[in-house]
Amino acid sequence: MSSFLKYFPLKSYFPWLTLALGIGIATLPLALENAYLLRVWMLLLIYALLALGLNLLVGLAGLVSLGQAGLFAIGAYCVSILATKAGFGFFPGFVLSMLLAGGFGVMLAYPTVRVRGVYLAVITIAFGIIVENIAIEWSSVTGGTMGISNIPKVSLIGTQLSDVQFFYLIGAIFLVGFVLHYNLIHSRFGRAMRAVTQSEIAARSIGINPIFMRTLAFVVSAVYAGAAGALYAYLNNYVNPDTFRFADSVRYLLMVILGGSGTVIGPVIGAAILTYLPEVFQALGVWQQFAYGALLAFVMFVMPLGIVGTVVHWYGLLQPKRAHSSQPWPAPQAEVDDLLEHRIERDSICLRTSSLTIAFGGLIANNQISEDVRTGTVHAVIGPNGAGKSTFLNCISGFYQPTSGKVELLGQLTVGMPTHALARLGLARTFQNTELFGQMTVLENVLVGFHTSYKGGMLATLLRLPIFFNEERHFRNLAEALLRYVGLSDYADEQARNLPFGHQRRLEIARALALSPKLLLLDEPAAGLTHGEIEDLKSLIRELASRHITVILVEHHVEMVMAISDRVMVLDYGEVIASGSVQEVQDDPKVIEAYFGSAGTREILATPVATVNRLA
Amino acid sequence: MTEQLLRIENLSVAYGRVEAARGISLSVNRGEFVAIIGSNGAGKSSTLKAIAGVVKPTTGEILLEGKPVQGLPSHEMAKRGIVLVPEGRHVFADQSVEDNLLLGAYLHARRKSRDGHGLEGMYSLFPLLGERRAQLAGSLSGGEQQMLAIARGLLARPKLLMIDEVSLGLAPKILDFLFPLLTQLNRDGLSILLVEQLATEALAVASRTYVMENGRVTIEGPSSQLARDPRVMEAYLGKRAAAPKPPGASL
Repeated sequence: MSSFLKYFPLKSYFPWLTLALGIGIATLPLALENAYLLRVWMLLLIYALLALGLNLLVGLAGLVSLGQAGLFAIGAYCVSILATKAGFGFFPGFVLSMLLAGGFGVMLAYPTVRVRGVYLAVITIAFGIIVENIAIEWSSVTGGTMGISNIPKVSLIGTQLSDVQFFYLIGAIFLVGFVLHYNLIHSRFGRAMRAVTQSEIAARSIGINPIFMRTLAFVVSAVYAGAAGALYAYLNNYVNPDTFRFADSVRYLLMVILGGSGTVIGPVIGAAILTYLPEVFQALGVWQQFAYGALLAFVMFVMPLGIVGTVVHWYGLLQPKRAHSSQPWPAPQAEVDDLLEHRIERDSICLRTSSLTIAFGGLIANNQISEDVRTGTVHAVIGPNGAGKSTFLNCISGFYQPTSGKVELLGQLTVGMPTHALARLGLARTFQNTELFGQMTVLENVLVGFHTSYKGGMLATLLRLPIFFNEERHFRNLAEALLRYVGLSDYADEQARNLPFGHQRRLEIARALALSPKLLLLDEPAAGLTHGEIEDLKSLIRELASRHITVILVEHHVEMVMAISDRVMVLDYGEVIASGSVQEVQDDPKVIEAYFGSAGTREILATPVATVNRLA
Repeated sequence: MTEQLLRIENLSVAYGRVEAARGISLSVNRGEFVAIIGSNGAGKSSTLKAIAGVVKPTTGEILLEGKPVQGLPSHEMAKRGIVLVPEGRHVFADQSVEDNLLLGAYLHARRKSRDGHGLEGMYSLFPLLGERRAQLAGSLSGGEQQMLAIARGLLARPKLLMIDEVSLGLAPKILDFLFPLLTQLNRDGLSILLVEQLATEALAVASRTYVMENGRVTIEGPSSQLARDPRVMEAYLGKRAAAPKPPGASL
């Protein structure tokens, strides 16, 4: 029984919502008195399918497409040509049209390597225009402005479907699309897409390839558009270029935005309103367009997150507020012990840089840095603001490519490797100004850190195979354990952006630990922490080192650096001015001059200006 | 009794379901240097943001010179003389240092000619900024950005300057410059409300200090008294409160 329930989590709203939609679709033809209204409903479901696909692109991956009508056209023309010229049946043509549209999705995703936001929208507009133009001009294949008529009605197993039967076919395909849409949103892929949207830098640092995620989003949305286009061609038995214009692309985007982008049911509601409303407004005669526009403007003003998004937001406002509290950390957890267990030989070289140099224009930010970092040690990097410490971390973690020199991680040359590949090798990091996925919950932030540890692929995710549930439960338990480890359990369900700054740092560390890193780069982890919290941080870092995790620590909190570091490297103007044990560095006159300031500076200073002059 | 500049009563702030500040009451007298210390999540930043109008308080009263100002948007607060130097500095990264400063003087743009905004004064206070006046603010080091953020705040001619975490991510040498500078500004008559994680430093510069814990003010009083308070010493000052600081050690 329990294993059965696992597949039908009754406390979730989704199975009930799907059931309600299914019953609605099954009974609708009985309630409609004429064939015209049935047609409107078929159109509505087709647009809803299209909008669901577009929602994955807009709501999850944060990419705006104003060329969706082009993909819709490709699906429609593909089945039409196959059915009229090659005699294809419904299903082969349907599948091929989805594949073809998916292929164009890859093509559309390519510009995202360079272009984002409104600039990308312009490219998608261009795509839509090109498709429309080809449909008009390539008349030997597309029939030109006349289009393709005589598309046969759908036949299955030798019998031609009645209108009601075809409605049920569309309904069934819509429901499959609806469930897969949900399954994708609520999976590691959906999380990873949202992560890439909210902080691409952080997503890369935990092993997610943003290009792959954006391509995936484009392909899936294109497949949905292709499927919708194929159904549309069979519904009308006729296609021509008039139905695939820029204005149609805009309407599809409106469906998603109006209903609530990123929500499960929003696109369906948006599609329903924008398809059904013109029917209702026909009674208004010449005022039809005016009423349509005015209503749209009004709804978006009152409900800026779209209908469903805003209702969910309002519901959230009604939730009782309470004070949250953090716990001391690190709090030992058996699950974390297993997660962080590494069998690497201590004192081997974990990271070696040789003559590492990086220049930005004329500014040499890192100059000939050669440094060995041994496994299981805490290696601090200190120096004045602007000395090139963060640049050094960015070079090691693949965010910057060095101008010259070598970086070896665990014996492997890593120059030229992208950040996400380095993360998969076992390099994790935190950021000076914290890079969290602000609009995801605290628990999701850690969970997304396990993205590359999952073995179940896309098929297991979409079909909800047992491995999906097992892995999801496994990693959820680990993520909860990591939150207990850093003392943030109480915040698990809150959005990360609502955390105080110091707690955001802890969360970043928990997310980095989810990678089970061999090398952990911490960029100013103590900034914004109080004395007690810094004491906790010190014990965490020492504990990680005792687990053979190598830590490179960029930090200004000198007392902490001196207390926990095995070695200290001092940078000034991009160059190593000292490197050695804590004692050696502390007594080095060059370091005192460049960084600490001379002893008793604070008392001696008569005016602040004097210091500035010394600094300059 | 000295004149009260700012007084807040029973102020609460919440983000989503997280209640950050719960019934905070505090005051700043004209010309006073007041600090708020406490751990992360205590509600210090939220209190400052509510006073600056960046977030709307859920309950409570904010009185500036006796007049209620709670619920006003942040640009109105700035007009009335409450200026916030935000946590993490938030300089306009793609504009030059000079343009950043001119934006600080935005409220007073109509009153004076370009030279009269007080830019030169800022450059003599922060000579490093003068050297870099044409450079993009985003290319400055963390310490220089903090100087720029403070200078930008000063140019708005605040009655009350609020600074959230002056020390965040800064090297010791920069702090050796900034903390005395704040003391100097206060001596020249500026009222300052400082939120700071480095309790030792905050207690050294502020005349009066509030300690916040878990959204509430738990201890308040003259800084010198708090520095000797065992509760404060244990939680926020650590051993360093008793032992003299080693030369060159951190703040």
